[in-house]
Amino acid sequence: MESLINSLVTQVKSGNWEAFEGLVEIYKDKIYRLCYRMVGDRHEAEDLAQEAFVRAFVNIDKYSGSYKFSTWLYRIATNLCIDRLRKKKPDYSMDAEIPGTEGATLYSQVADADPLPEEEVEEKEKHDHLQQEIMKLPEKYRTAILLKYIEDMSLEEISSVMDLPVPTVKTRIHRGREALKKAYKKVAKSR
Amino acid sequence: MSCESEEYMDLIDKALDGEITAEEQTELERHMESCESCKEHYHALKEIIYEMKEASPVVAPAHFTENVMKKLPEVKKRSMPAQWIRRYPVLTAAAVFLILMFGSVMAGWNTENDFAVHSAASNIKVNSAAHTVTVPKGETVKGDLVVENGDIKVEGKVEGNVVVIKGEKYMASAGQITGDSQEIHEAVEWVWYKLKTFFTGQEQK
Repeated sequence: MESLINSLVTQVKSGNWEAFEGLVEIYKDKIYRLCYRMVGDRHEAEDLAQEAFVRAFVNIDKYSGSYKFSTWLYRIATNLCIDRLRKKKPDYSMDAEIPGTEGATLYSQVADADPLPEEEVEEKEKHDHLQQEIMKLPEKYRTAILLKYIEDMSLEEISSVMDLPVPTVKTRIHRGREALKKAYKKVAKSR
Repeated sequence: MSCESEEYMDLIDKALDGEITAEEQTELERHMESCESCKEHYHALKEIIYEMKEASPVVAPAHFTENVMKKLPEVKKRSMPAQWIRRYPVLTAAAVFLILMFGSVMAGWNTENDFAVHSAASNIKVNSAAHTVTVPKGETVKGDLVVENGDIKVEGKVEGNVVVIKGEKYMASAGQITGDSQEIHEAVEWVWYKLKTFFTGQEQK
Protein backbone atom coordinates (compact mmCIF):
# COMPACT_ATOMS: atom_id res chain seq x y z
CA MET A 1 0.00 0.00 0.00
CA GLU A 2 2.74 2.44 0.98
CA SER A 3 4.63 1.77 -2.24
CA LEU A 4 1.48 2.34 -4.31
CA ILE A 5 0.92 5.65 -2.54
CA ASN A 6 4.53 6.70 -3.01
CA SER A 7 4.42 5.85 -6.68
CA LEU A 8 1.21 7.89 -7.13
CA VAL A 9 2.78 10.84 -5.33
CA THR A 10 5.86 10.64 -7.56
CA GLN A 11 3.68 10.56 -10.67
CA VAL A 12 1.70 13.61 -9.58
CA LYS A 13 4.93 15.45 -8.77
CA SER A 14 6.32 14.75 -12.22
CA GLY A 15 3.27 16.35 -13.83
CA ASN A 16 0.82 13.47 -14.29
CA TRP A 17 -2.07 15.13 -12.51
CA GLU A 18 -4.54 12.35 -13.35
CA ALA A 19 -2.59 10.10 -10.96
CA PHE A 20 -3.98 12.22 -8.14
CA GLU A 21 -7.34 10.50 -8.64
CA GLY A 22 -5.90 7.34 -7.07
CA LEU A 23 -4.84 9.23 -3.97
CA VAL A 24 -8.28 10.83 -3.60
CA GLU A 25 -9.94 7.40 -3.91
CA ILE A 26 -7.70 5.92 -1.22
CA TYR A 27 -8.16 8.70 1.33
CA LYS A 28 -11.55 10.28 0.59
CA ASP A 29 -13.51 8.38 3.27
CA LYS A 30 -10.92 8.96 6.00
CA ILE A 31 -10.56 12.66 5.24
CA TYR A 32 -14.28 13.20 4.86
CA ARG A 33 -14.98 11.36 8.12
CA LEU A 34 -12.41 13.41 9.99
CA CYS A 35 -13.90 16.64 8.63
CA TYR A 36 -17.40 15.50 9.52
CA ARG A 37 -16.42 14.62 13.08
CA MET A 38 -14.61 17.95 13.37
CA VAL A 39 -17.36 20.27 12.11
CA GLY A 40 -20.47 18.10 12.57
CA ASP A 41 -22.12 19.07 9.29
CA ARG A 42 -22.14 16.87 6.19
CA HIS A 43 -22.28 19.65 3.66
CA GLU A 44 -19.50 21.59 5.27
CA ALA A 45 -17.47 18.43 5.71
CA GLU A 46 -17.66 17.72 1.98
CA ASP A 47 -16.55 21.23 1.20
CA LEU A 48 -13.61 21.04 3.60
CA ALA A 49 -12.53 17.57 2.49
CA GLN A 50 -12.50 18.67 -1.16
CA GLU A 51 -10.52 21.77 -0.28
CA ALA A 52 -8.02 19.62 1.63
CA PHE A 53 -7.38 17.48 -1.46
CA VAL A 54 -7.08 20.51 -3.73
CA ARG A 55 -4.54 22.06 -1.37
CA ALA A 56 -2.59 18.85 -1.18
CA PHE A 57 -2.47 18.79 -4.97
CA VAL A 58 -1.33 22.39 -5.30
CA ASN A 59 1.36 21.99 -2.66
CA ILE A 60 2.47 18.48 -3.56
CA ASP A 61 6.01 19.73 -4.25
CA LYS A 62 6.26 20.70 -0.60
CA TYR A 63 5.59 17.13 0.53
CA SER A 64 9.09 15.81 1.19
CA GLY A 65 8.31 12.17 1.94
CA SER A 66 10.07 12.28 5.31
CA TYR A 67 6.77 11.18 6.91
CA LYS A 68 3.73 9.36 5.59
CA PHE A 69 1.59 11.00 2.92
CA SER A 70 -1.51 10.32 5.04
CA THR A 71 0.02 12.26 7.95
CA TRP A 72 0.57 15.23 5.66
CA LEU A 73 -2.96 14.99 4.27
CA TYR A 74 -4.49 14.74 7.76
CA ARG A 75 -2.52 17.80 8.79
CA ILE A 76 -3.91 19.85 5.90
CA ALA A 77 -7.45 18.68 6.68
CA THR A 78 -7.30 19.33 10.44
CA ASN A 79 -5.84 22.78 9.90
CA LEU A 80 -8.63 23.63 7.44
CA CYS A 81 -11.28 22.40 9.88
CA ILE A 82 -9.80 24.35 12.78
CA ASP A 83 -9.64 27.50 10.64
CA ARG A 84 -13.27 27.02 9.65
CA LEU A 85 -14.37 26.48 13.25
CA ARG A 86 -12.56 29.63 14.37
CA LYS A 87 -14.16 31.74 11.65
CA LYS A 88 -17.59 30.38 12.47
CA LYS A 89 -17.28 31.05 16.15
CA PRO A 90 -19.43 33.87 17.51
CA ASP A 91 -17.79 36.39 19.82
CA TYR A 92 -19.26 34.77 22.90
CA SER A 93 -18.82 31.10 22.33
CA MET A 94 -20.02 28.28 24.50
CA ASP A 95 -16.90 26.48 23.32
CA ALA A 96 -14.55 29.13 24.61
CA GLU A 97 -12.44 28.12 27.54
CA ILE A 98 -13.34 29.90 30.73
CA PRO A 99 -10.30 32.01 31.66
CA GLY A 100 -8.29 30.50 34.45
CA THR A 101 -9.55 26.98 33.86
CA GLU A 102 -7.96 24.23 31.86
CA GLY A 103 -10.42 23.14 29.26
CA ALA A 104 -13.65 23.97 31.08
CA THR A 105 -16.25 25.57 28.81
CA LEU A 106 -19.53 27.33 29.44
CA TYR A 107 -21.26 24.04 28.67
CA SER A 108 -20.08 22.69 31.99
CA GLN A 109 -21.99 25.57 33.65
CA VAL A 110 -25.31 24.81 32.02
CA ALA A 111 -27.68 22.05 32.95
CA ASP A 112 -28.24 19.60 30.13
CA ALA A 113 -31.65 20.70 28.88
CA ASP A 114 -31.97 18.45 25.86
CA PRO A 115 -34.71 15.94 26.59
CA LEU A 116 -33.83 12.64 25.02
CA PRO A 117 -36.41 11.24 22.59
CA GLU A 118 -37.61 8.10 24.27
CA GLU A 119 -38.65 6.27 21.14
CA GLU A 120 -35.24 6.41 19.49
CA VAL A 121 -33.16 3.31 19.11
CA GLU A 122 -30.94 3.40 22.14
CA GLU A 123 -27.67 2.53 20.43
CA LYS A 124 -28.01 5.11 17.69
CA GLU A 125 -28.90 7.70 20.24
CA LYS A 126 -25.77 6.91 22.17
CA HIS A 127 -23.61 7.40 19.07
CA ASP A 128 -25.30 10.64 18.09
CA HIS A 129 -25.03 11.92 21.58
CA LEU A 130 -21.38 11.09 21.63
CA GLN A 131 -20.89 13.05 18.38
CA GLN A 132 -22.64 15.99 20.02
CA GLU A 133 -20.37 15.71 23.02
CA ILE A 134 -17.32 15.54 20.77
CA MET A 135 -18.57 18.68 19.05
CA LYS A 136 -18.65 20.43 22.40
CA LEU A 137 -15.01 19.73 23.13
CA PRO A 138 -12.61 22.62 22.54
CA GLU A 139 -11.09 22.06 19.11
CA LYS A 140 -7.61 21.25 20.42
CA TYR A 141 -8.93 18.33 22.49
CA ARG A 142 -11.37 17.35 19.77
CA THR A 143 -8.64 16.96 17.14
CA ALA A 144 -6.48 14.81 19.39
CA ILE A 145 -9.40 12.61 20.50
CA LEU A 146 -10.65 12.07 16.94
CA LEU A 147 -7.24 11.19 15.55
CA LYS A 148 -6.65 8.79 18.43
CA TYR A 149 -9.96 6.95 18.64
CA ILE A 150 -11.71 7.41 15.29
CA GLU A 151 -8.64 7.36 13.05
CA ASP A 152 -6.75 4.95 15.30
CA MET A 153 -3.46 6.82 15.08
CA SER A 154 -0.45 6.33 17.29
CA LEU A 155 0.64 9.16 19.57
CA GLU A 156 3.66 9.72 17.32
CA GLU A 157 1.48 10.09 14.23
CA ILE A 158 -0.89 12.49 16.02
CA SER A 159 2.15 14.44 17.18
CA SER A 160 3.31 14.95 13.58
CA VAL A 161 -0.21 15.74 12.29
CA MET A 162 -0.79 18.34 14.98
CA ASP A 163 2.82 19.49 15.02
CA LEU A 164 2.98 19.13 18.79
CA PRO A 165 5.28 17.14 21.10
CA VAL A 166 4.01 13.70 22.18
CA PRO A 167 3.50 14.67 25.87
CA THR A 168 1.23 17.57 24.83
CA VAL A 169 -0.78 15.22 22.64
CA LYS A 170 -1.09 12.82 25.58
CA THR A 171 -2.36 15.59 27.83
CA ARG A 172 -4.93 16.66 25.28
CA ILE A 173 -6.23 13.15 24.79
CA HIS A 174 -6.38 12.71 28.54
CA ARG A 175 -8.30 15.97 29.10
CA GLY A 176 -10.62 15.32 26.17
CA ARG A 177 -11.38 11.87 27.52
CA GLU A 178 -12.13 13.24 30.99
CA ALA A 179 -14.44 15.88 29.54
CA LEU A 180 -16.30 13.23 27.54
CA LYS A 181 -16.60 11.05 30.61
CA LYS A 182 -18.20 13.86 32.59
CA ALA A 183 -20.65 14.65 29.80
CA TYR A 184 -21.41 10.98 29.34
CA LYS A 185 -22.14 10.41 32.99
CA LYS A 186 -24.76 13.13 32.84
CA VAL A 187 -26.51 11.28 30.01
CA ALA A 188 -26.38 7.99 31.85
CA LYS A 189 -27.97 9.58 34.92
CA SER A 190 -30.70 11.33 32.94
CA ARG A 191 -31.86 8.02 31.50
CA MET B 1 -15.00 5.52 48.21
CA SER B 2 -12.78 7.73 46.12
CA CYS B 3 -9.33 6.59 45.19
CA GLU B 4 -6.84 9.42 45.11
CA SER B 5 -3.91 7.33 44.05
CA GLU B 6 -2.01 9.08 41.27
CA GLU B 7 -0.28 5.82 40.59
CA TYR B 8 -3.44 3.99 39.58
CA MET B 9 -4.73 6.95 37.55
CA ASP B 10 -1.50 6.77 35.55
CA LEU B 11 -1.94 3.05 35.09
CA ILE B 12 -5.49 3.57 33.84
CA ASP B 13 -4.24 6.14 31.33
CA LYS B 14 -1.53 3.77 30.21
CA ALA B 15 -4.06 0.99 29.80
CA LEU B 16 -6.33 3.21 27.70
CA ASP B 17 -3.42 4.39 25.56
CA GLY B 18 -2.35 0.78 25.03
CA GLU B 19 1.00 1.40 26.68
CA ILE B 20 0.56 -0.79 29.73
CA THR B 21 2.92 -3.71 30.42
CA ALA B 22 1.65 -7.15 31.42
CA GLU B 23 2.77 -6.70 35.05
CA GLU B 24 1.15 -3.29 35.31
CA GLN B 25 -2.05 -4.72 33.87
CA THR B 26 -2.10 -7.43 36.54
CA GLU B 27 -1.41 -4.84 39.22
CA LEU B 28 -4.24 -2.60 38.01
CA GLU B 29 -6.69 -5.48 37.88
CA ARG B 30 -5.79 -6.55 41.38
CA HIS B 31 -6.31 -3.02 42.62
CA MET B 32 -9.67 -2.67 40.89
CA GLU B 33 -10.99 -5.79 42.61
CA SER B 34 -10.90 -3.82 45.83
CA CYS B 35 -11.37 -0.23 44.53
CA GLU B 36 -14.82 0.59 43.19
CA SER B 37 -13.96 4.16 42.13
CA CYS B 38 -10.99 3.17 39.95
CA LYS B 39 -13.04 0.36 38.46
CA GLU B 40 -15.89 2.73 37.64
CA HIS B 41 -13.50 5.31 36.18
CA TYR B 42 -11.72 2.76 34.03
CA HIS B 43 -14.89 1.18 32.67
CA ALA B 44 -16.60 4.48 31.95
CA LEU B 45 -13.64 5.64 29.88
CA LYS B 46 -13.40 2.29 28.14
CA GLU B 47 -17.05 2.47 27.20
CA ILE B 48 -16.64 5.96 25.72
CA ILE B 49 -13.70 4.80 23.65
CA TYR B 50 -15.63 1.76 22.52
CA GLU B 51 -18.56 3.96 21.54
CA MET B 52 -16.29 6.26 19.58
CA LYS B 53 -14.71 3.39 17.70
CA GLU B 54 -18.13 1.91 16.96
CA ALA B 55 -19.58 5.25 15.88
CA SER B 56 -21.70 4.85 12.74
CA PRO B 57 -19.41 4.70 9.72
CA VAL B 58 -19.21 7.84 7.67
CA VAL B 59 -18.25 7.63 4.00
CA ALA B 60 -17.55 10.34 1.48
CA PRO B 61 -20.59 11.37 -0.60
CA ALA B 62 -21.10 10.17 -4.18
CA HIS B 63 -19.02 11.80 -6.91
CA PHE B 64 -16.54 13.07 -4.35
CA THR B 65 -13.44 12.06 -6.32
CA GLU B 66 -14.98 13.30 -9.56
CA ASN B 67 -15.66 16.71 -8.02
CA VAL B 68 -12.14 17.03 -6.65
CA MET B 69 -10.64 16.07 -10.02
CA LYS B 70 -12.81 18.66 -11.77
CA LYS B 71 -11.33 21.37 -9.58
CA LEU B 72 -7.72 20.42 -10.29
CA PRO B 73 -7.13 21.66 -13.89
CA GLU B 74 -8.26 25.16 -12.97
CA VAL B 75 -6.02 25.15 -9.95
CA LYS B 76 -3.14 23.90 -12.03
CA LYS B 77 -3.52 26.75 -14.51
CA ARG B 78 -3.78 29.31 -11.77
CA SER B 79 -0.60 28.17 -10.07
CA MET B 80 1.45 27.44 -13.19
CA PRO B 81 3.77 30.49 -13.31
CA ALA B 82 4.66 30.24 -9.65
CA GLN B 83 5.39 26.52 -9.92
CA TRP B 84 7.44 27.05 -13.06
CA ILE B 85 9.63 29.63 -11.38
CA ARG B 86 10.15 27.37 -8.38
CA ARG B 87 11.04 24.42 -10.57
CA TYR B 88 13.41 26.16 -13.00
CA PRO B 89 15.08 29.02 -11.10
CA VAL B 90 18.12 29.20 -13.42
CA LEU B 91 16.03 29.30 -16.60
CA THR B 92 13.81 31.94 -15.06
CA ALA B 93 16.80 34.07 -14.10
CA ALA B 94 18.21 33.71 -17.62
CA ALA B 95 14.89 34.73 -19.17
CA VAL B 96 14.61 37.76 -16.91
CA PHE B 97 18.19 38.74 -17.77
CA LEU B 98 17.54 38.50 -21.52
CA ILE B 99 14.35 40.53 -21.28
CA LEU B 100 16.09 43.30 -19.32
CA MET B 101 19.06 43.23 -21.66
CA PHE B 102 16.83 43.36 -24.72
CA GLY B 103 14.87 46.21 -23.18
CA SER B 104 17.88 48.35 -22.36
CA VAL B 105 19.44 47.78 -25.77
CA MET B 106 16.12 48.61 -27.44
CA ALA B 107 16.03 51.82 -25.45
CA GLY B 108 19.49 52.53 -26.84
CA TRP B 109 18.21 52.12 -30.41
CA ASN B 110 15.51 54.69 -29.83
CA THR B 111 17.53 57.29 -27.94
CA GLU B 112 21.09 57.10 -29.28
CA ASN B 113 21.05 59.29 -32.35
CA ASP B 114 24.53 60.82 -31.99
CA PHE B 115 26.98 60.51 -34.82
CA ALA B 116 29.94 58.39 -33.75
CA VAL B 117 32.87 56.67 -35.34
CA HIS B 118 34.79 53.83 -33.77
CA SER B 119 38.09 53.12 -35.44
CA ALA B 120 41.71 52.69 -34.49
CA ALA B 121 42.88 54.27 -37.73
CA SER B 122 43.78 57.95 -38.07
CA ASN B 123 43.79 58.19 -41.86
CA ILE B 124 40.02 58.51 -42.28
CA LYS B 125 38.20 61.77 -42.97
CA VAL B 126 35.41 62.50 -40.53
CA ASN B 127 32.83 65.16 -41.36
CA SER B 128 30.81 65.62 -38.20
CA ALA B 129 28.48 68.23 -39.69
CA ALA B 130 27.42 66.06 -42.61
CA HIS B 131 27.60 62.85 -40.57
CA THR B 132 29.87 61.21 -43.10
CA VAL B 133 33.08 59.25 -42.89
CA THR B 134 35.34 58.89 -45.87
CA VAL B 135 38.09 56.38 -46.46
CA PRO B 136 40.16 58.43 -48.94
CA LYS B 137 41.32 57.06 -52.26
CA GLY B 138 44.68 55.34 -52.01
CA GLU B 139 44.55 55.05 -48.20
CA THR B 140 44.44 51.74 -46.34
CA VAL B 141 42.55 51.61 -43.05
CA LYS B 142 43.73 48.84 -40.80
CA GLY B 143 41.28 47.35 -38.31
CA ASP B 144 37.48 47.43 -38.00
CA LEU B 145 35.39 50.50 -38.68
CA VAL B 146 32.08 51.22 -37.00
CA VAL B 147 29.90 54.22 -37.90
CA GLU B 148 26.80 55.10 -35.90
CA ASN B 149 24.12 57.43 -37.26
CA GLY B 150 26.11 58.39 -40.31
CA ASP B 151 27.15 57.30 -43.78
CA ILE B 152 30.44 55.92 -44.98
CA LYS B 153 32.12 56.36 -48.35
CA VAL B 154 34.76 53.78 -49.09
CA GLU B 155 37.10 55.05 -51.82
CA GLY B 156 40.23 53.37 -50.50
CA LYS B 157 40.79 50.05 -48.79
CA VAL B 158 39.62 48.77 -45.39
CA GLU B 159 41.48 45.80 -43.97
CA GLY B 160 38.85 44.70 -41.49
CA ASN B 161 35.08 44.68 -40.91
CA VAL B 162 32.81 47.63 -41.63
CA VAL B 163 29.59 48.16 -39.70
CA VAL B 164 27.16 51.00 -40.42
CA ILE B 165 24.40 51.57 -37.90
CA LYS B 166 21.45 53.67 -39.06
CA GLY B 167 23.35 54.86 -42.09
CA GLU B 168 24.36 54.00 -45.65
CA LYS B 169 27.53 52.57 -47.11
CA TYR B 170 28.73 53.89 -50.45
CA MET B 171 31.39 51.94 -52.23
CA ALA B 172 33.54 53.66 -54.83
CA SER B 173 34.63 51.47 -57.71
CA ALA B 174 38.15 51.38 -56.30
CA GLY B 175 36.90 50.82 -52.74
CA GLN B 176 37.68 47.54 -51.07
CA ILE B 177 36.71 45.89 -47.79
CA THR B 178 38.60 42.76 -46.86
CA GLY B 179 36.40 41.78 -43.90
CA ASP B 180 32.62 41.60 -43.55
CA SER B 181 30.48 44.63 -44.13
CA GLN B 182 27.15 45.15 -42.53
CA GLU B 183 24.44 47.83 -42.51
CA ILE B 184 22.06 47.88 -39.58
CA HIS B 185 18.65 49.52 -40.09
CA GLU B 186 16.29 47.49 -37.94
CA ALA B 187 16.02 47.51 -34.16
CA VAL B 188 16.14 43.71 -34.08
CA GLU B 189 19.37 43.65 -36.08
CA TRP B 190 20.77 46.25 -33.73
CA VAL B 191 19.90 44.23 -30.67
CA TRP B 192 21.47 41.15 -32.20
CA TYR B 193 24.60 43.09 -33.05
CA LYS B 194 24.81 44.57 -29.53
CA LEU B 195 24.35 41.19 -27.88
CA LYS B 196 26.95 39.63 -30.14
CA THR B 197 29.53 42.30 -29.41
CA PHE B 198 28.63 42.17 -25.72
CA PHE B 199 29.30 38.47 -25.50
CA THR B 200 32.33 38.30 -27.82
CA GLY B 201 33.79 41.61 -26.67
CA GLN B 202 34.48 42.72 -30.23
CA GLU B 203 33.19 46.25 -30.02
CA GLN B 204 35.96 48.78 -30.37
CA LYS B 205 35.93 52.01 -28.47
